[in-house]
Amino acid sequence: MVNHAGGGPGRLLIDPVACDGVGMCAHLAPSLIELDPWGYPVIPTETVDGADARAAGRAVRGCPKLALRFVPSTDPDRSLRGDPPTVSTRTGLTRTN
Amino acid sequence: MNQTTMGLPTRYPGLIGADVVPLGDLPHGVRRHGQAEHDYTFGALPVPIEPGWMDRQVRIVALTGRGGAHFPVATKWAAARQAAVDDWTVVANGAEGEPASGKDATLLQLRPHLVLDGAEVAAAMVGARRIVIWLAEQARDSVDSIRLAIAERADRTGPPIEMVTTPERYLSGESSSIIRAIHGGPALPRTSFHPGRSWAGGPPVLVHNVESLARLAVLARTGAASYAAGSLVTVTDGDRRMVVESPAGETFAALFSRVKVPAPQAVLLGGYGGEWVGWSELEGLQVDPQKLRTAGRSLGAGVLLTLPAGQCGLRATAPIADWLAEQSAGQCGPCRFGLPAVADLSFRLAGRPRRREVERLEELLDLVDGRGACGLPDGAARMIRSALETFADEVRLHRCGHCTADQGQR
Repeated sequence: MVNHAGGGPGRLLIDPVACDGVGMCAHLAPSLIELDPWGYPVIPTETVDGADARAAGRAVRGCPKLALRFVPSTDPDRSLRGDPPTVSTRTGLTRTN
Repeated sequence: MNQTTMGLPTRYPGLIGADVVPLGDLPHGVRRHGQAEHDYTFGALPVPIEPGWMDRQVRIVALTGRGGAHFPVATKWAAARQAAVDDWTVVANGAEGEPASGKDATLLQLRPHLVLDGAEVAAAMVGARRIVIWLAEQARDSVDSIRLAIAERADRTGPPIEMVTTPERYLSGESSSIIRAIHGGPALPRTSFHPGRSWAGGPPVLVHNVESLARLAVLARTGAASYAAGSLVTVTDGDRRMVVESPAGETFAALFSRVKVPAPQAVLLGGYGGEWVGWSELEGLQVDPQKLRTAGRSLGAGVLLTLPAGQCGLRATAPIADWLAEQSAGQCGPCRFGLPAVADLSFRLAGRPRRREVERLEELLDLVDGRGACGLPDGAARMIRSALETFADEVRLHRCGHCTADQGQR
């Protein structure tokens, strides 16, 4: 998958199903990632760039569960719609349309 | 091709053809349509469906998905076309895991052919070669109705229709769960990093809720000009549960008056992951997905669960929060660990909470919101936040050791 964070802007995304709360990411990119009370990562910033993007790349490569992705801002997959990766609706579950 | 209203009865019968269908016990005159009665009532489905024409009709009436998200059907189809893939599977999602909803089951039992017609319309839009009707295995009446309907349509051309059943749980009707199951995995939510291509990683799957499909089946016959918009809703008021078809323009006040439900204190709108809305705000609004969206609300899966006057909204909220926590698949940490903590604090809120417990609950809601692969934690957060807001006076009473429900009994 895309993880060549070469310093360009992009978004750091978590696959919450794959994530086991190991916490390695918060050690590798402390400026970007905090851990919640249960040890799972929280990423407060929407877009990362420059040195942060390099830290994001380290976190992506360091995750033993392969649960992190860095998606460059230019990725056509992401530009289709600006939505966050998880299915989030006003009414709880997306029970399909 | 002739796509007019020819052959359609002059009076549009509505999807379920009765004003009020109580759940469990059908009134006289309300019964399942077999193939012959279906054709007689609704007229024949125009075949073949012309995709360009159908797409325009859907855009004109601004049809939205009825599974809960009210995503525009036309937008979903546009994303499917843009993907430029074939070998589509169309799924009719009838796994109504929402405990307060009965509209999809009612539709499947009374109008199975309307759902199957709609699945054929959707299949024509993407050139699907396979139609799957996705049902909860415990929903025996729906399963029987669809099995019979598939047998009744044996002579039809079009993609083969098969029924697939899944163990009944809240998450088995979630669209990414269905796609994962169609791809051969477990029927549990998965993370998608591909907006607009939710099926990515396997063959393409187009999932529609069964009411959405029934509306497509009617729209394909009437065209936009003669289409009677409306919404199926499930009203629960104490022991009374009923499915009602609400025509466009009807207000909640008019609907409740029509089904003889007294004005409540508040309504849980949309479902267990919906929002508590005070009656004073809701009564003047229309039971219409677009109008509600404009008002900052959502009809969701069409659930209207009342909180009668004199009852405590916080006591009503805690068991729902607890139920939602139990429904977590446990795949995502924030949901697995966060929702039980949220449920515990909701029960504290229903008793005599300390100030810091109320604050802690608000913090935890921020921590679970948006952090799962599916919308379960978001829905739980939304529902409990709406309780804190709608029942703010009740929270103050509880902080002082009082409760509306107890005062009513004195």
